[in-house]
Amino acid sequence: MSARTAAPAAVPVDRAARSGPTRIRGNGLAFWLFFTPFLVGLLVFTVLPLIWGATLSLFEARGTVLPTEFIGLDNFRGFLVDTAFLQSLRTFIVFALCIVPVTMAASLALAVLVNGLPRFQAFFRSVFFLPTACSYVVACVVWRLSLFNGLESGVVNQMLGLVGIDAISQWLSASPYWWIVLVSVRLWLQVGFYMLLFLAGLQAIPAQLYEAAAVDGLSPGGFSMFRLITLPQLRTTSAAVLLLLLIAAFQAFDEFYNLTGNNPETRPPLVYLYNVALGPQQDFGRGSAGALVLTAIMVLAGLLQTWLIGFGSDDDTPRRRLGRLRRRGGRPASRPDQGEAA
Amino acid sequence: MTTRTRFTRRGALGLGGMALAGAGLAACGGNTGGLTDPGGGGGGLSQWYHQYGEEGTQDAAKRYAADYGEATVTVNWVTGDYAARLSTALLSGGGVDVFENNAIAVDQADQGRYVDLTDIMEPVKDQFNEASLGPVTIDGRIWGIPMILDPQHFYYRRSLFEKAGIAPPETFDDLVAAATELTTPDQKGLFLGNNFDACTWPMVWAAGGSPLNEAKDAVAYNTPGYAQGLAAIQRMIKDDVLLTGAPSDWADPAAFASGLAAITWGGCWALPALEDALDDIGVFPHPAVGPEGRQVAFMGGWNEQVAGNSENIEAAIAYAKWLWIDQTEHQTDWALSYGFHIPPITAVAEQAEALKEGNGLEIATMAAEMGVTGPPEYTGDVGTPRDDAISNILKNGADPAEELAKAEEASNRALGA
Amino acid sequence: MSAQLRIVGQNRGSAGLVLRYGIAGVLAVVFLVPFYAMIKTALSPNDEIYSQDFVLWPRDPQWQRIPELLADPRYLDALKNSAIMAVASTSLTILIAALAGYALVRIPHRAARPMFVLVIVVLLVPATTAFVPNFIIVASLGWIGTLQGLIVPGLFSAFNVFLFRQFYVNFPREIEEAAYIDGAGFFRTFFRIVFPNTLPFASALTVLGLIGSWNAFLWPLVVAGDGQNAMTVQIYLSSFLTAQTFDYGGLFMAATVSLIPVLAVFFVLQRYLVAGIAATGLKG
Repeated sequence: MSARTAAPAAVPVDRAARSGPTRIRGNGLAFWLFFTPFLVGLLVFTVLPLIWGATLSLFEARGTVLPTEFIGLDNFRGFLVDTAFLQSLRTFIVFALCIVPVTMAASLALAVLVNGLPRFQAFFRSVFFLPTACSYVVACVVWRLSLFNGLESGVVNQMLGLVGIDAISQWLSASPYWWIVLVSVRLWLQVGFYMLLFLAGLQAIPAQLYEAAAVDGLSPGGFSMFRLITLPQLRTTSAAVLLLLLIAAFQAFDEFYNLTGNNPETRPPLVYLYNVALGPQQDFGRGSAGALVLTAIMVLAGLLQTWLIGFGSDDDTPRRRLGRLRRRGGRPASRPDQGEAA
Repeated sequence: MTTRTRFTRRGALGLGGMALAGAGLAACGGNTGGLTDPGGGGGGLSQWYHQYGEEGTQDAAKRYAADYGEATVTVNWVTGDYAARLSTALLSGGGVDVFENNAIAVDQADQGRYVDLTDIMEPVKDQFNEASLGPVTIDGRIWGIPMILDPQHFYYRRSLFEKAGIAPPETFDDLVAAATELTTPDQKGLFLGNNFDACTWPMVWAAGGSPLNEAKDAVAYNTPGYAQGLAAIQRMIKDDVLLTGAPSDWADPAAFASGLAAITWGGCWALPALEDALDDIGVFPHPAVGPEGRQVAFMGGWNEQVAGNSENIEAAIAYAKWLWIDQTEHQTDWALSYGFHIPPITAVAEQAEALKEGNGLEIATMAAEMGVTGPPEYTGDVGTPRDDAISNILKNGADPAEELAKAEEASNRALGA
Repeated sequence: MSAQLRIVGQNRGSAGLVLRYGIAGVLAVVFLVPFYAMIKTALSPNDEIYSQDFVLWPRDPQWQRIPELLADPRYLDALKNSAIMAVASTSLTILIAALAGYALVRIPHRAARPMFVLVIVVLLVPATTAFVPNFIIVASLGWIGTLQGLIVPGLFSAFNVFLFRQFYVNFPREIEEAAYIDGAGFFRTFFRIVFPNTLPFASALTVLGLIGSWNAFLWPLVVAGDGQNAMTVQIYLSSFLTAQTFDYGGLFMAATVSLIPVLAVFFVLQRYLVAGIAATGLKG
């Protein structure tokens, strides 16, 4: 480990030596005074719900949260035969296959574009980043009722008209049109955010690398420079963006709820879960079981993320982290840090 | 079971107070209870309505509440997904005493979410339109007071039909032919909602089936006629006869009033707005579908109920009885002064001028002779497979007969569970 | 050889520069089209909205929709609830997380290590799928349709605790040491010395938090209840999309106005936002 992480660990010892018995007694109280607000909230709003939910998942709990009928794993078994649940996972896969590569490519391209502008960089960055401030609901109102409405006067239909394509009226009632609507709304909302991540990555690349490459005969700003220097240097950022995009796609809810309602083809896992637990069926047993299954999937993804890129702590360059990961043989990046807390 | 599933508001307060005190969140902890129910305490009642589209309805609801002398009633105008909000409130005791509902469900009744209103309804039930009682009755017990009946049917442009020499269709094939003929580059023939499914629920009856069989132990919507009718809609989608992507959906009169389609599925509530906008509006019932079919008008409607976990059950029952049984002036006002609905009390309906001529009379006749209503035993989890099947058929082009067979199996599984 | 190449590259660069600005300009217009469509529809009379004919700008802009909207008490309530939620949940989340993160690294205690492990474990549990079990808790507390139901369950962010912990690990110790020597306790040291110096770091989280809570949808939808006391502006807007009939232009005006506060925050605090995203690499 670096000297940096080792140093703070030594200091508490010094201070403990300086403090008299009163200070040590004060520590016990002070620690809990500082930590209790968080701890109690965590217990009531994270741990307790998990336990209650896990319990409910073993009961027949339609329309009640205090059930009496124990049914073992029936709720979980239900998912294996429930085509709607399996279809929701399929919807996620289709959606992720569209949105993840498109957003990756678009945000990287925007970042390279903006980074290569000698002037007005802040202006263009702001414009591309602006949609991030918009909510999914506002964007869905605009997408569904204005941009992609089926009338010839709809904005997108007008644009199609300019290039000689007939107006499309089935934007939200036929595949594959609805995927265009669903993907474009999310792309618009989030591409600026990922562009910023890539921009930070680009600006962290040492200028000497490019200079050295130019000396070696690569043309500045050319594609081979991009392929041989830029892309490899962005490997860690790209891995992080990929995982963030996947997780975000798995948790998609807002645009599906507001754009396509209850169509089984466009019902991702969270919308399915919402309908089971909080729709007219109010099946809290199956809903809790579903929440557990989806949580388990997310935890696995989270572990993968931790393992790959750590928690994004700001005192670490991505390259060192990756290198350290390799040296450590893949133990979670957080492990060594825990030592300081003790 | 019943008592177990309910939370008392007082118990919830205690728990909430404890959690807050424990969390040490003085900022939020000042008043944990006051926010739970705006109308609660001191004999006050909280009354829920879904958001009616017609202008003036909210003020009218408040006026009726203010007229009631026995209790202070707060009107709660609930926007958005009313069914979800309502079931959440009935589960958690979210400050609702009296509420309207258009989907009384047998499982909610079993769980004690509703108060049994048989005692006040039994003596007067002969005064009500028979069709209005179906959705509120489960095994002879009555759980709601019908407030309004909302027949759903087709609207069409008389002038366009006359010009093309078409008569109002009596079979679904005729409807398809009419819609195809009336489709022009500027105007689609037919509007069945942006999802094409507006009339697929009444089509269950129109195709000779029904949601449940007579014993109510299996669904009976999967008929050959139903598959034929859905296939006909698929054909119209392919032939570009149906309007879709309209700014607002079928329940809103605006798309039809703007001349975007020649025929539309609609609700009677839209009649005043449509007659204001166009002078050639006509109505006809859902045509018969397939050889076993019959013409039907679907009778939607809203019913007043009392919440099982209300703290003022007696007062709530008294108010509901006063508003929708005893006095009749507000009933007429509610049904006919804003939109257009049919009062479920026969004597009240008979006095309404709007139901004595023109389209109003035709709708009232349809309602009396061809009205069909959904049974409370057909609950959310029984219905979901059919909803999904319809969506798969109309949006994803799946085979109607296969999808319906699969849905029937899944519905019956839910019914047996 | 290499000098020659560089010159060629620069030539290509300046020709490419025009192209780059061209592309950037076109893209910027495309990114702004949805805002244009929103404002245009907000000002269009209803017959233009349903018309098949496209107009670039409404012939008769309906400016009166602004005063009409601002006279709607339900909309004002929704704005107020959103503002309360954004400010309360952002500030309390940060305070709670800062306290806990500080305790983990700067108050020697034998529970610190197990508590940190707890934070790490919870970090892996996603907040979004928790809406079902959280609904059950909040319903049991009788908090459906209340502001505390909206705000309190989201205040305890393990991720923020982790971020603050990381921040305090590198916090210069000398200032604190001086305060301790002067006899100040942990509380006074934290609130007088440490927390004020945390604010630049916290401001990035603040902007992310404000925008995130203003735009939040799923949890507010779950706890909206009767939509009176705890309806946020997002739920207000979404309710139009599921309603039977609605005032089309009014909805777009409501959407437009709902963007004003969040855009104001965005423009004023943008540099913190940019720094925050670069630093944390995650959305708040």
